Amino acid sequence: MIRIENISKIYKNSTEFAVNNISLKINKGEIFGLLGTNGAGKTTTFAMLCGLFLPTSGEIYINNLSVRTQISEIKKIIGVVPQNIALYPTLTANENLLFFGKMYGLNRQELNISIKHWLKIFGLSKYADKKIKTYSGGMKRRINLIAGILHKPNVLLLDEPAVGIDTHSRLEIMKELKKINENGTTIIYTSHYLEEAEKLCTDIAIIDKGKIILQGKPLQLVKKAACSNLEELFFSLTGNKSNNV
Amino acid sequence: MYKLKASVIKEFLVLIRDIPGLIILFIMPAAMIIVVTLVQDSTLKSLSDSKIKILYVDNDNDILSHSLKEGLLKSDIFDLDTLKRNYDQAKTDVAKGKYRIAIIIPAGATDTIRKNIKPIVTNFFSAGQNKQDVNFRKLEIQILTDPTTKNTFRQAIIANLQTYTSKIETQILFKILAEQLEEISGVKPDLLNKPIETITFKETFAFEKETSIKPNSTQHNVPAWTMFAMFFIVIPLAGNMIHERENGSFFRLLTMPGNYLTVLGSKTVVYLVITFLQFILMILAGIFILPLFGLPVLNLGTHPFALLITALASGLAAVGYGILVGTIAETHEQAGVFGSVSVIILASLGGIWFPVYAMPAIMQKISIISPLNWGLESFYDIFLKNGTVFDILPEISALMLFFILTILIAYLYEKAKRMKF
Repeated sequence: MIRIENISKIYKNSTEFAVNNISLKINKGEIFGLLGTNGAGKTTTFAMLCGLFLPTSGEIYINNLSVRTQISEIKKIIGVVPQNIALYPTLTANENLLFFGKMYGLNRQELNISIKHWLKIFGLSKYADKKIKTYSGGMKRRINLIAGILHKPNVLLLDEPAVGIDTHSRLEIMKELKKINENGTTIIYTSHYLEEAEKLCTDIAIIDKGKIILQGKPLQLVKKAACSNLEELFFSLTGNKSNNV
Repeated sequence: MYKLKASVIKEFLVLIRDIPGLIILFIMPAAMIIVVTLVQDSTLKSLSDSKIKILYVDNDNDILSHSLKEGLLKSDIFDLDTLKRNYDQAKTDVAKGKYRIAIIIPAGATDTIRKNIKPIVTNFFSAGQNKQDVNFRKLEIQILTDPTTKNTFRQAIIANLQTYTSKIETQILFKILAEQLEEISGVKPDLLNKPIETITFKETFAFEKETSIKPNSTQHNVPAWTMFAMFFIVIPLAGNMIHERENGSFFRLLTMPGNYLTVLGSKTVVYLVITFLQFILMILAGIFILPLFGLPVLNLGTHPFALLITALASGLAAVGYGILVGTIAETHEQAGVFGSVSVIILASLGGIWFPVYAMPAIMQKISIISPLNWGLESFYDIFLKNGTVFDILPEISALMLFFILTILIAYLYEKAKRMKF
């Protein structure tokens, strides 16, 4: 489904690798967690997966389409949820979702159905016509997520989708991500909530200084390393506490 | 097209909810056009209608001082106070701002002129006998001016005085000549007692085409400030683009299927409509609001299609510039400062503040680089010279080329910015 083949990235005006020879294979239907400390290379990898910029070397394939040469096709099948609240604050939730849905080429009728559905799922129906700037952090995060899934993408890329919100909202988002995944969407996400990643992800990769240092199924990895949880394992590998991830 | 339409709707909604942005776009330029036209009009009126106070010190009390006074009063520009003052008192009055100018005619001034002219005339009629010595005496009229008075204005007054004095000199010459002729012939020559004014001046505006349009402050200011307002769109437009980048929605757009030109296209459509509305607003202000303040009504000329094309081409150039600034600037501060300062510089170069023909030669040459100048010249062609579409073609082509170039640079810059990662 997604093949990352020996990708490396050196930013211009830099001599160091931001990502150093990473290879990953993510199968259809997985929830894949990309975990790492700040500056480890996960955001660079995420940006390359979105096609925002190209790797210095190596290839990325999504559904056998090359990010290097077929990015226009890839953009149609991926959904992206950035870490920032990438919404227009002066527009209502409905107006934001209509706009982003239309940019994915969805027609008005199917969009209306989809928007109604997701707003209901996330308990935001009665706020549909309120401006985003009046929303709480948790509500904004939920709309930010909906904007990335309206077009039912095959692959959903999430960058810290639940950062900075209360536990209740976070759990709600996680619950819905699980449902989305059950309906056939492959999910790749970055997070520094290791406990959450352990519960949600089918597979994880820990990235440090641009390199993958551990990859596999969370439970198996924890068991193999004789650790009590993913957080302990992560700490033993990187020497960083989880809240610095 | 579907995505462009969606994007246009989004841009429109974002814009109409940006109240400070709308104030910058509509209310400020409208206020500006009224205030500037009023100020310019009243400045012109201050030279013609409201009179300039002059202290007139007449120590001569003869033909010269009387004629000069009469002439100054006749010009309708000056309000004369004839008082007895010595030089120092007059100087103090002007220095304190009581008068803009003081004119001191020295005692015996007319007599000096007489004494200068009389020997010339006498010698002429004496046929070489009893010739008188011709020694010209110096006559100095003192003019004291307020240092804050503009140089050009001061020079205009001095030129005015010189005209009157030479006229009076001629009159005295004719008077003495008449006296001599009367002495010789015994007949008083009537004609020479009357002022001779055989040369008159008729001023006509040189238009290539027949037109009834008269240049006035409205005809000049409405197009000038319309161009300025259009280009001030750079502030909200660049701000909109930076805001989009800051809040991440631009990032999201880049990950979506579609071309970046769709994003730029939607901004162009919406902001072009805004510039056109600004143009309509300015025109309406020129027709309906300015006359309420006693200013002349705007005359639109007789080629509305040419006017429409000029408005659209100027709007496109302004939008292109705004998009370029919004693409290159990294922060709101950069966009705000660079955007406003650059528009003010381009406006100054383009003749918005000060007419290009009155600029130094080097600045006149530089002024052609300003897109505001191209738009303004096109408006002037239509408003003041009754120009047609054909006449404005060079300016329109330049504006369109400017728009294409700015969009192309913005597009390539954005692409290059991502490539540098």
